[in-house]
Amino acid sequence: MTVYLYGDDFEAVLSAIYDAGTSGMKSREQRLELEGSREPELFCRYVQTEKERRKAESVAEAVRKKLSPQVFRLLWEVSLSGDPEKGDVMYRFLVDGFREGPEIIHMLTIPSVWRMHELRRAVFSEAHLLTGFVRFGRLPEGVLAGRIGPKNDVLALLSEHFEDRLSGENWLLWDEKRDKAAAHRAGGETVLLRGISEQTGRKVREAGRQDPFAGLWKSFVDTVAIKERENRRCQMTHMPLRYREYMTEWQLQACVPKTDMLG
Amino acid sequence: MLLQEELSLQQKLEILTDAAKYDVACTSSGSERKGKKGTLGNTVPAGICHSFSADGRCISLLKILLTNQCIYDCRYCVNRRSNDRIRTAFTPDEVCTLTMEFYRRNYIEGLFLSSGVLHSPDYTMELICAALEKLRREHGFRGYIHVKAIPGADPALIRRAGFLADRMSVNLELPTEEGLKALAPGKSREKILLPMRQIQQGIRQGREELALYRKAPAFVPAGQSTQIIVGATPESDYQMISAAESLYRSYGLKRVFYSAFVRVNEDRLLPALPGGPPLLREHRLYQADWLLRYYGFRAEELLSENRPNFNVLLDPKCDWALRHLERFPVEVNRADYYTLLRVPGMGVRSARRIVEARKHGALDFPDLKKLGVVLKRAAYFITCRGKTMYPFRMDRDVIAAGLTGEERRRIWEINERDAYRQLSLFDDFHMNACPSEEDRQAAVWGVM
Repeated sequence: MTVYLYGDDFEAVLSAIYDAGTSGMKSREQRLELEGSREPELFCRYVQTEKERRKAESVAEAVRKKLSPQVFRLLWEVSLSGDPEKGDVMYRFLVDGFREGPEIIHMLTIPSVWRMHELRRAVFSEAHLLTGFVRFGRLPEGVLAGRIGPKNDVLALLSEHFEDRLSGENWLLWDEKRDKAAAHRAGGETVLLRGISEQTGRKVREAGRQDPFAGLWKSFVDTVAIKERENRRCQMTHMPLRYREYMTEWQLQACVPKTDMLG
Repeated sequence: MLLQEELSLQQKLEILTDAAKYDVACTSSGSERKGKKGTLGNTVPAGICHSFSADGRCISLLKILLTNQCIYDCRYCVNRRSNDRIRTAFTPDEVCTLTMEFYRRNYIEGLFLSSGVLHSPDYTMELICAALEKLRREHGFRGYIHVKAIPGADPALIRRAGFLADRMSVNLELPTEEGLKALAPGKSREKILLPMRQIQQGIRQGREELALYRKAPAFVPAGQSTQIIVGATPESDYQMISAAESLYRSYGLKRVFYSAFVRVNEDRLLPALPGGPPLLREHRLYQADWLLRYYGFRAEELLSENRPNFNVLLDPKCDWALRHLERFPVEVNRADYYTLLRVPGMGVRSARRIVEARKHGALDFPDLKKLGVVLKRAAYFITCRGKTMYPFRMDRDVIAAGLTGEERRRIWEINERDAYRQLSLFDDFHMNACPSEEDRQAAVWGVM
């Protein structure tokens, strides 16, 4: 078994797929692995793939021509997934794809195709949840600052959403897990940044708590619940605990249910 | 009654949210409007939930009343005239500030503005329009707005609000005339249905105008909705679901919401409800509502005069399937989309996926599982390549027993949630008494 190791971005995955595809070996004798995601095994040959624009372009070109632009879009979307097996899934999907042709995208009963759709769905459902769960706080400088820590790399998808929605505002959205950020200037463009300074990070963390509207929001969230219908489990299913750390209404105080509304 | 003006914004927000929370509608869907450079807001067709309150309901819109003062004395309502409560009102500016600032911070998807009736319906509707106009024109807000049409208000005012809002709603509250007469003196069915009809005609007319001139302003683009209270009056499920069906059919409503009755007032005409709000009944009505809207069912297929209420143990679709075993099993690889939709355990999404996937090869049970079919239920009603998943007798009782086992657990979760907890060595079962001085010493010295 030959294992191709790749780094965590789209170009690197495509380069690894290129290396595996041009090695001349059968697909069942090789696999792709995200660097550092698993312990090395015996009887495996490990190949560190070089990330190269040329290799990636070549795979992209082949996919667009022989399959379809939709398939290429699907590949990019799956590459945003936080699942360490995504590279291998993409590789197997392409092996099946080049055999079956452009219709591959609909053949859900083929395991690799189904896995692709699963991963894509996970990316999009997290992005959708976050379009609601992201919280901005007003920094003293006037910039709206928000912080996320998603499982999948959804910052690009989110910044598209907020670029349209908050186009008249200055805002900054920071993915603290991957240390990436999207910054937008009122009426202007959105840019993706590779990391922000430690000082800015500290400010962004504090932004939600110091905002004067945070208290109003917190009391709204507490008041709008109907006491007779309390159902914490239902709340938990819809809003998993891992998001709460980033949400203003949960940061303000420990989650003690406020029973007496008006005192 | 006096309006208290000198409350802080925080206090007003608490009072007017508390008074608005019994309205269940909080959806922000059905309207697509792109943002505009340099302004605030857009709307997304699917709607977005921004948070979930302690009762598990989605918080999408800033749901507030303009005022909780009201001239009516509806027995089920917190804001009825005869209740002794603090009465206050937002100014249009306060509504705008809250909406804009909450929206900027991505707390909300938009505004849900409702109101008690202050002085007269016209006066109230005028206030609502003023607040919305300020928000849309002065502040350039492009997010979602859901607004209540006050029954009895001038049609011109309702029309004005319709061009500012995405969705409008008039609450029917009680599905029959008798119910209204008993619990809502001063309201009548005609009075409620009148603005509903007007909005419907406005929407229709708006569509025609849009077809003619592309730039015509949209009138209530997300459609209208209404709400029915469940369990305040003795109406049966059949009456409720028929009322909902006729609202969908003849008034072109987007949604009917069902709200399990919460007894907020002491009144001898209101039911006591010792077991809390009728949540299971509400759940069944929503299930049936989905069947009406997306699955092509009709109300009289689900219930009838002789069977006026839903089965407690089975969901409406399973219940229907059990009464029509002659139509089953269906062959997954051949049945058309609408037949698949009627199989318990299959939904719109899984049925669509099946139709898509079987073009490329015959499907078997493991494939169905991947496509999102709930085999626990569907297994009794389908075959794959002529075979059922496992051998069983096509008999009503056998299937019902198999189905209820799973359903009973869900009902338990709805009715008795948190009453039962898994025993564990490390749980303290909420015994939070502070340790006494002796306990502390015992812990230090190791003497128990």
